[in-house]
Amino acid sequence: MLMRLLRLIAESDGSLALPELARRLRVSETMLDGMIEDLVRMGYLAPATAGCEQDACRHCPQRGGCSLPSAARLWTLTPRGRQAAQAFAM
Amino acid sequence: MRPRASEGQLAPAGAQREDAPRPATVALVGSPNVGKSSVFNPLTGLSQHVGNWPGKTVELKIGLWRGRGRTMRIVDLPGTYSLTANSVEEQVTRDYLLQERPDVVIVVVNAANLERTLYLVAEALELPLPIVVGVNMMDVAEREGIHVEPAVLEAALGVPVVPMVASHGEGLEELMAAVEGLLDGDYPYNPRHPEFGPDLEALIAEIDRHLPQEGLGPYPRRWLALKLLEGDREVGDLLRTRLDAARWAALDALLRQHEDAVLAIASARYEWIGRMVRAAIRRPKAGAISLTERLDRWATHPYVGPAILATLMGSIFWLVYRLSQPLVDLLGGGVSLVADLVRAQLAGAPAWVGGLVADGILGGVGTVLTLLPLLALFFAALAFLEDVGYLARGAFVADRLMHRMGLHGKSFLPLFLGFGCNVPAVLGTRILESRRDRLLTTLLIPLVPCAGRMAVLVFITGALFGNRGPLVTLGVLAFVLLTVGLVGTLLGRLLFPGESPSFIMELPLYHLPNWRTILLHTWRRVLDFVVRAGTVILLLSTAIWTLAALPGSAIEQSYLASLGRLLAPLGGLIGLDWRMMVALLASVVAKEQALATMAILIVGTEGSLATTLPQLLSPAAGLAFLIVQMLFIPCVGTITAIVQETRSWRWAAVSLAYQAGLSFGLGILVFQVARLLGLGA
Repeated sequence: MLMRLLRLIAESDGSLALPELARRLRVSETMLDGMIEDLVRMGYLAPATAGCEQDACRHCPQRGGCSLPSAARLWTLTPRGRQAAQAFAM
Repeated sequence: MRPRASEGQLAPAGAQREDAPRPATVALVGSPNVGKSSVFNPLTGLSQHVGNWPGKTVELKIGLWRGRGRTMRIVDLPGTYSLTANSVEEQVTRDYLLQERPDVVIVVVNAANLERTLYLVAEALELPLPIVVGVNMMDVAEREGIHVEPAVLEAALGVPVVPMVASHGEGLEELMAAVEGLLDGDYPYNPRHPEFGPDLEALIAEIDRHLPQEGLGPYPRRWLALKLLEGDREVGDLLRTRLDAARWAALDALLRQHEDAVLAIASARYEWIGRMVRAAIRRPKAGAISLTERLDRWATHPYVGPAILATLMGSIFWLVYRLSQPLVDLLGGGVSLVADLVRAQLAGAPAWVGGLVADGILGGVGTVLTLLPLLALFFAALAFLEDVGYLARGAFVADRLMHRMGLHGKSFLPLFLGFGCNVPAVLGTRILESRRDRLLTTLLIPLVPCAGRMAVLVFITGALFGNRGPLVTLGVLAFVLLTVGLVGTLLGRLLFPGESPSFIMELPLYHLPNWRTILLHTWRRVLDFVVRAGTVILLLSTAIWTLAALPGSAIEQSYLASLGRLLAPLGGLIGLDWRMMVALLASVVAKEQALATMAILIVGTEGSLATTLPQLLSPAAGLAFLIVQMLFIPCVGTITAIVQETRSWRWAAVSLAYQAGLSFGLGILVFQVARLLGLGA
């Protein structure tokens, strides 16, 4: 199931929203949450920084009114995750 | 691995006085926030005390339960999601279970969050310990429309399952009765473990053959093999000390060869959880799907989503334009009026004083400030979309489009930021890991229309195209975004070939707007704009007026005109005179400066920029100017950021060169096409 998740991300034509991914895996979003957390812990996924939390925005005069969707949480494949997805795709 | 707990520290089960009947020990485990304390406290009452696991600061609560003529020691272990030693809590919990071997383990799970909390059950079932599952928070689950069937879950798990609402004391008696049933052997205990499949079982057996026959302490061999495959460092360290160097090297090589086995193990557990949940839970029907889910079916749809985004953004531009245009015109008239008054008041002063204040400062800064209503409405609209939760969907849809062009999924974050200001967007490329992605995104960001360029665009389309202004604005924006896409595709595929990985994105829930937040965001951005007008724009307007006024004769003989004429041949290709070329050049300091410069150089003592501009520019020349200024070389702030982030002037020079070429190339193309269409007059 986790291998399928990694493959879905690697082969996706663009980003995947949690509900869509949960539907494709036929699991609930709660369970998907746990799977993502585990994959992060194992080093296959990494959270991506979004919004003005990042250090780069510290000196930006517009950070107070930044329209970047900071509420969204993002994860992306790590090199290990990409490698595993490729291996399981074979 | 921790040493066995000593008496006085924890008083484990095996440390009772020999002459006293040994009370059974029951360990209470569960994920954080499953209500374990609500189980432990009523069961043990005032008999509780706190102990520490040796060498750890994590507290274990211990208490006695008395009922039906029996006494049991209940040990409340730290909350944990799994039994891998990732945190001190997980380590203490699993060490206690394996070293102290309680008589029964109660695993408390959350009925409203069964999928997440059953993982611990899956791991606990792999231990040689009898398990009782307490399904707590049944009331919360029912309220959320989740109906758990404990009897079905019990049949599926093969271990006792007790439904509970521990906070109300419901199910606690039954829980202890189930524990007693296990202790007395009354329950046909037949746990159904996750199945790992033949390949993984063969691997587990192979690992087992590498393990020593003795000296493994309380740790079951199969459990050790699983933990080794899961990359558990503590177990690895233990085995390293138990094996000689050669045998450890062989085992280590085998583990390295199968380092992704951890995925197969965790997958098997999740498959098992899926089966349990499908068997024992009835969920709300389709009619009860949340509003967010229903809206997202359309908002994030691969084809409908982009259409919604385009329609929404188009509507916002149209609305902002329609609402702000009368105010912008009114303010423009007001600036002209104030300039006339200033001129009259300063009639007695040297001519240059009146000229500087009325034409230079009021003409330049005043014209830029007339854009305030437009920008305020635009910022408010974006803040509204962000606050209600749509903007994240917009970014999601835009990311998909960019991904098709070969851009890195993460690139959309800084590119999206570029719509506000290109400078933080370039700084934001730090979130990209590879240099290829950072460079590609850095080269694209200056093409993204920032707020300053948007203001110039909207002002000029309003002045030149009247009622068709919003349509022209959208057309120019579509042209620019298409250019960003094409340039991104070309750069990505030709100069920076590589993979474009995707994201998983958790989108926020839709909710009603918080007007205070929206106003605060709008205010901050408007304030930033006003500060820029009062500093950078003011200084540059003064400098431009001075260069246009010196050496003192007509503007056509000024120093600025001499400079501008150097650019005139290039401007001639797109129907622009030297004044428009100087305005374009001035925009390198700040994009809004283009308007301030036009106001100083073009507007005389009569009228405003909005009324004067149509006399100077044909629609074809206006369109060409807009294309060039939207794609023109980055502002000084962005150039500095590019040098800072790439640590090289080379990439800043590349950006300047390709954007100058691209902007004028496309400007000439648009000018010629517009002339062919009869817009040259």
